[in-house]
Amino acid sequence: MNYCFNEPIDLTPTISSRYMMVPQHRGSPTEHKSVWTVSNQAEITCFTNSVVSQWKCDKYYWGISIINGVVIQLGTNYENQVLQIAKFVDGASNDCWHGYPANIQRHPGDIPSSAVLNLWQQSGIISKSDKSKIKGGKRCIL
Amino acid sequence: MHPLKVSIPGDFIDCQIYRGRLYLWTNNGCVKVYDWDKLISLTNAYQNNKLMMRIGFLEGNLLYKSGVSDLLDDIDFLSLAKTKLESLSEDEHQLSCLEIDQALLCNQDFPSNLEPIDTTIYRNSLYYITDSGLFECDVHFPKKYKTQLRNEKKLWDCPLFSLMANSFGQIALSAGDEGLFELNNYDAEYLENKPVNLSRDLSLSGNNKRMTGIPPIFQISKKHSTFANYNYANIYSSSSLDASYMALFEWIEHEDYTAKKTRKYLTDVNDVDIFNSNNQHHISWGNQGKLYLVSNNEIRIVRLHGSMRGLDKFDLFEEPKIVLHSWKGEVIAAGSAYFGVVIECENALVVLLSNGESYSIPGPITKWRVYPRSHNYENHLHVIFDDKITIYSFNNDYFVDQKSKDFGVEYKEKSQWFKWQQHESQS
Repeated sequence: MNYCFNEPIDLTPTISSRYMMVPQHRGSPTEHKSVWTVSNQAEITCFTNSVVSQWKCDKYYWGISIINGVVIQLGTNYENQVLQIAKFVDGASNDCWHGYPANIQRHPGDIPSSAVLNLWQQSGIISKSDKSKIKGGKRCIL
Repeated sequence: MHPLKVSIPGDFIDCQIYRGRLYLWTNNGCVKVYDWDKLISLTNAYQNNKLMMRIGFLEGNLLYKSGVSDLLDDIDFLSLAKTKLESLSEDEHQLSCLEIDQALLCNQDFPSNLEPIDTTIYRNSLYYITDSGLFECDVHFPKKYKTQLRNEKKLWDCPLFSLMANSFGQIALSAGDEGLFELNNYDAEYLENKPVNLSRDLSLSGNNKRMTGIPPIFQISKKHSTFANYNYANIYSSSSLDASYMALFEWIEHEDYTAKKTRKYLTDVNDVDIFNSNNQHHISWGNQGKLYLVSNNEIRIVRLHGSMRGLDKFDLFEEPKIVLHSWKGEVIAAGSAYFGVVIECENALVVLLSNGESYSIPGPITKWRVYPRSHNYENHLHVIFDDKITIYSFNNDYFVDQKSKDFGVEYKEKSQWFKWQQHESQS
């Protein structure tokens, strides 16, 4: 299916929220913007899964994708790092979301809240050791 | 010489030890405070080897003290001490749940109901980072009190990775790409009567922008910072992504404030210039006079002289090779203690001891801490695993020449620290 940038995507009946892909998080990463390396559909699925799983704290949803029991790479940054966690924001507060691979070693604000990390730990997606590394801005491949 | 080990079972996420109290944060939102001296006294090992267990876990500076350390010149005493420590190190002394409950002072919900990301204690104040920012609360109340952490207040809402205090009430705050900041309690008294204008730089810290009122938080650098350590008057900021750097300060006097000198920021010096290295994949750190850079299974060491004003004020040492087996993964963090340096790899801790030996601790590791500012626990390494915390006591450093050792902070009597630091900063 073809998706257009900056156009809200209706995700009913799965979820009522809409999603929008933005061009600055596709293509080549810049110093300040990470990019998705998975397909458009995978990006949308990651968001949908976050909403269904209620991996949300405060204003953000947080996403992670698992295939065959393995947490996959979602994106990369200017330093060509493997990024495995996505952050979804509702910029206009109208339940229309967009997201990007979170640069967790660079920005403390790109780190999921403890509440979401605890959900992932309880689900066996990450370990307690992973959670501590992520919160401390340390390298952590899940 | 292997370390002594005491373990406490449980699901923990952070720890601190301070003035006879062990603080353990649990994974379910509580903090437990233990009478540390009583905990150690409950071990079987303590019943049979009180002196060595005291040295190992309760009075780590005992064999450093002048007068007492002279005993180590006695060959018989030296041999006996080493033999006893080696014997005690053969077992990991595990405390049972019943035993540790006897030493429990309180079990309370953690203030703010938010998990700590990092913690430090200075002068009966606990400083901690959560998802919501930087907080402070009071600790070390009388043992009969049911709650031991009280009077929480929020200091700042900036997201942070880590914090580190020095012996003067200054706390370095690492905020990733936001940079390096410092909460400066030491200068707070001087600043108290100064008008606060957050839109303008204050001359007290050079050109550092002030972020908050009281207590004062300044931005030291806009360069990426993952964790930081103090080196005399300076701050060494370590980055897991970019170049690490030393933020240089000098002590200055004020005409309008003669009670004490304060620090003034000068400039940054990158680790590329300090270590004469352009290796991209490395991590560097430093604490109190020695800086280290680890890359590609080798380590470089720089000794500082004074405040390092001018790059001729350091000595680059030969590079002893270290072996980091591939299963341990990449180096992701590090720190220094008197007994050596601790290198955190993805899957293990590697301790390079001041006597030239090394010791590996396989993971997975949730958190680890050393306490170089401590008066009694400077030989401790606390390591939190999935189902327990183990307190390692490294006692090799008493038998090593302090000035010539490669790994570890040089021991000086605490009473001499401040005078020595100011003297070194001005030399």
